[in-house]
Amino acid sequence: MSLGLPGHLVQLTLARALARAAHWFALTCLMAAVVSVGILSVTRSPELWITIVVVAAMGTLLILFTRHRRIALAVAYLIVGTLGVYVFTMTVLGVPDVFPTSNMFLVALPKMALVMVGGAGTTALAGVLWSTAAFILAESAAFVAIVNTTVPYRPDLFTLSTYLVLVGAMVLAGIDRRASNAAQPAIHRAVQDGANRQLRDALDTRAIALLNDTTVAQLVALSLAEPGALSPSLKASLNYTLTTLHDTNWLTDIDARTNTTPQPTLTGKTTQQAPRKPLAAPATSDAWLSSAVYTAIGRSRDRGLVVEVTGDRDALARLDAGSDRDVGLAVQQCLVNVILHAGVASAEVAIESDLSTISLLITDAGRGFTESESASDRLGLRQSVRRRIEQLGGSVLIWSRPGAGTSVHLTVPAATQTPTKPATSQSARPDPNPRSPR
Amino acid sequence: MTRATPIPRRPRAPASASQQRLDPIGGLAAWPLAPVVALIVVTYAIVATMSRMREIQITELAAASVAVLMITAAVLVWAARPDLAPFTRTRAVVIVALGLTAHVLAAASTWQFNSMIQDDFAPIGLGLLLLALAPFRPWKEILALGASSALVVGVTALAQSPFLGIQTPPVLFAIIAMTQVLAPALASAAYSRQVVNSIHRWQTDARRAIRARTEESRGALATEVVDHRVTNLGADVLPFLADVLERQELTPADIKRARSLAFQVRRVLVAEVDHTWLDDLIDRERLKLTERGLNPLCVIADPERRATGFDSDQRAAVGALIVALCTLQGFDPTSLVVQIDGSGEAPSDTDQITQAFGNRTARATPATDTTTIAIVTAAEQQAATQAKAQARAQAQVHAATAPRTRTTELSAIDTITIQAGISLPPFHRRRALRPYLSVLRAVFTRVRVTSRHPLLTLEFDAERTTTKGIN
Repeated sequence: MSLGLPGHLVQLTLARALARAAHWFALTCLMAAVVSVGILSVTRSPELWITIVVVAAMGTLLILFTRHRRIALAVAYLIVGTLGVYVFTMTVLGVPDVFPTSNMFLVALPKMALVMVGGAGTTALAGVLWSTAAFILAESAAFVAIVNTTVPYRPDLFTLSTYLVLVGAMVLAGIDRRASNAAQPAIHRAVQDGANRQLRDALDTRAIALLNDTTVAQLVALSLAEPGALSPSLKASLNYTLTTLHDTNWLTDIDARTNTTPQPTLTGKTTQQAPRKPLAAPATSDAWLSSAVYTAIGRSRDRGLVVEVTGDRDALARLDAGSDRDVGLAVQQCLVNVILHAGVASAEVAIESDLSTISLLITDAGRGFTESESASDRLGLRQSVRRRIEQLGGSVLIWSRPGAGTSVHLTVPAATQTPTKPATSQSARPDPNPRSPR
Repeated sequence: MTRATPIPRRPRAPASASQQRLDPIGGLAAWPLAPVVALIVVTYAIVATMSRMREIQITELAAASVAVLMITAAVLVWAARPDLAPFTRTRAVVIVALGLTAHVLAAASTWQFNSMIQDDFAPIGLGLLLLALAPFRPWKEILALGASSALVVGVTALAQSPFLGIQTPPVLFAIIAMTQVLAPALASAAYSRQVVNSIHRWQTDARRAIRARTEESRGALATEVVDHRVTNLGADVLPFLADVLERQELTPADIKRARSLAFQVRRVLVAEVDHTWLDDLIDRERLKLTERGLNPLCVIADPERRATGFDSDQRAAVGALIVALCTLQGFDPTSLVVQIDGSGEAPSDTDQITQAFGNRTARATPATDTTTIAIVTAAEQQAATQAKAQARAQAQVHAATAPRTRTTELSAIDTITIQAGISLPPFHRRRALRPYLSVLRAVFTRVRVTSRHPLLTLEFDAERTTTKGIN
């Protein structure tokens, strides 16, 4: 909330606010006048009805003026108001034996309302001039009216002080006393810097995660491999890593689905992997096949992991492109962890969804994390899984128990489920024959 | 009423918004209103009391009334002081309550002998006090305070009506007295509402512009980040990988090298992950000072990375302040120290690895904390399938119960201390830093400024409620 008004908007904003304040002040005065003379005319002197009419006319013009802010309306308000003040003062003070002197608050009400016309000035000077004109007109009209009655004249301090307070406020608001002109732009700049930095951090987070997924994972895989000829899967992943790193677009969000899915330079037996048949498959299973999670699982299968997929796969269609890509990378990192650390050849990915979220549970029966491994590998879970998911507004739970392997539970927000497509329930069932290592 | 193309409504300003909160620097400019109003109120009370001595029956009460009004005026001036910002609701209520007390005391002092309601000083005084709240409090609150004050004033006027000098229906007196309170109160509320809406509109637009500008630079930033990363990496890793791929075979030396490279890269990445926006900011300031030919020494002590818990407003306020400090005349470039510590949990941005060694309990214990990883030492391959099923069940149970436990709010307080040596006369220093401090007061709590020349120490708290659930 630190983005205050810039210098060039201050005057205008304050002038508008003062105008609003002045109009409400005037309206309150007119309302009080109408109610008061209304009560008086009912209980005491019915001839006061005329004052109700003039005050109502003033109120109408005031509201019109507030709405449209035209000079013609201001002039009309001044003229009607001056006449109104004359009629009001004369009629009210003309009621016999009620008011001892002329300086009654009730008599001052329409005058105060009239003075408030100055609040509408767009500059302080204009406001002061309008107010002064209104004050002089109102006081003159009242004076003429009072002379025509039997009530002795007393100066009306209420209108005078209202006038002075209004003029004071307008002058105060009109003088730009912000000695600290440099501070507001500095704050503005700081906010812009913060926004840039935040975007940069997000990009950097993603870059680090990607580097960790590709480079570090690749180096670890190499360091764990046996000396000798490269295995086909190692070759494929090396290829993938190098192409990813050379591809300058690896940070851009746009069109993530098509960016992440094609696995570049697929060689040997992996050629038939990830066949892209955009329109051949029915829409529902296409969503699953085109999701990044599917690609990630396919990649792990290439590396020899048996991945069992259960649950509501089509729910992944509810993720937008960016989320889909990040979830895919997170799942991939979890599966890479299984390959590198778990010491087992199989893992399970269960997909669940409810109205607003999608969760994925990646479970393996491996040996879990050992202390030393997790200390050196904390980047994988921290960057590639946790930060990524948290950037999407999701959450990550990680368990590891004796002999029970590791479970990673990812939850991400997704587009609200549309209650259409009852036909998809069929494919939402757990796949009876999922272990196709391709 | 109906438009062909509905104009999208801008988000409304929060109900608690006031000019001072939304635009602290503007609030700073509005503050002289308070002493001026206080002066008018007190002067009018004294003059009005003197001029109707003959109506006053109990002089003590009249004196007490004026005294209470003086205290009220003093409270108003105190409450509006920029260094005690923000102006809280309690302060506003206290001011109005004191004003009403003065009104009741004044009415009691002239009981049965008041000739005219309209020259009572208290209703007008109350109205002016409410007027002075305009830059500091939200309009609804001013309206509520004004309405309740008007009610009290109206009732006292009705109570006095049988003894007044003018013969009119009693309601008329109530209306006159209430108008004296209500007209300024409504004006005050209208001002507050209009100003807050204008500022909010500007802020919404400004934020949108900032977002757009940031998005524009996305491509450039991404390229920059990628270049930075790849250059850091490229020298060693890329040629190595390419080389291995080309040779199509792995030698023991390659394996060794892969291991060491993996270790190196990971270490660099881990170090970068620990970098916060504050490190970034200070790095930049350090660079600027060096460019000016100075030899800066800026220290950040934020071991728990609490800076990551700050929201964008807080970051902007701290950032602007630090930049202002560093560019201030007389700033000692070796003196800046920024320290963040505090109570409660640090922001859960990083993993906290709790280690549960060995099999202390045979029973599987799910992690008590959602961000905890229970690390186990040995692997027991037997009963793996059973354990796997168990783990899954547990994970599901945990997932089902987790959202509820996550929404329990844990509040944490971060205390930020900024210290800098500035050899500038205190008056100039205060003047230069006042706007930044006013912004700081709007986004942090308990801002304390202490100075022992030339060392200036700023301390402030950030309250954080850690609700990281996604539901």
